[in-house]
Amino acid sequence: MITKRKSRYILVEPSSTEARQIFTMLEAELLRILGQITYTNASPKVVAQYGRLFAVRVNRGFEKNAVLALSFAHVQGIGFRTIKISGTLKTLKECAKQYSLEPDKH
Amino acid sequence: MKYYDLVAMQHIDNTLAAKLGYKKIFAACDIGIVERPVDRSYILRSAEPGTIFKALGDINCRGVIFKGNELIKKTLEKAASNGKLVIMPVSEITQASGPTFMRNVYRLRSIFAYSKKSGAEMAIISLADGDNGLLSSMQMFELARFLGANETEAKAMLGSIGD
Repeated sequence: MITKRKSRYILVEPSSTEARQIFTMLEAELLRILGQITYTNASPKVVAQYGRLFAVRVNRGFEKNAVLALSFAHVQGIGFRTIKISGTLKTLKECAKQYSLEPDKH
Repeated sequence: MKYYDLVAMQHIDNTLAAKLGYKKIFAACDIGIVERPVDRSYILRSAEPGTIFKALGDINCRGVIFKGNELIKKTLEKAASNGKLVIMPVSEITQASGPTFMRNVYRLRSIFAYSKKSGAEMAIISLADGDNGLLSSMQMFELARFLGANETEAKAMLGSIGD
């Protein structure tokens, strides 16, 4: 019996956008931090990009592991900040739009 | 619940703070982090147990960050009795790797456990020195739980630096 995959989506902001192949390297970095077993269970994958923000899909129940792993992940000196977790990409897209509209003088 | 963070940068924009889920992010110029007691409000960061013990009796001292490996329970008991914050900077683990990472995790978990046992008030901060070290309140909450806190304790740790 095929069961529906239950996922959670995490909206992530990198501290810098000046890096090549950041998504591939991020997934490798998450594998290193989480370990083979947790990585396989969580199956984190970058699925969408909204400007400088991007969405990572993880299996339900492993979103907290993913948030923790993203705190430790550094790719080419770039850190990652989690903005929101949601059950749908639609909500994240709206959140990303809102986030980009707000002025950021940083 | 209102969350706060403290960073090692000189200036931080608080519109970014709101985006990351904080009420306010304090910069180094807002609250001085010093190695020796001074005449204004400060947070002491030191490896010397004697300096820390003395500062815990100082009215200007808001909290302490343990820099060294030596952790004296009497110091934590004094922090608890004087109402001083025991502050844990997560940059020690988020910016480390390998044996240093494991050593720092063990250190911070010990500080947390002893502080909890002594009844000292605790705070968790990022102490980020740059953009790549800044973390959202969601991540700080998970890091507090990683160090041993339950949900209630983690929320309290995120809010106590702003009091």
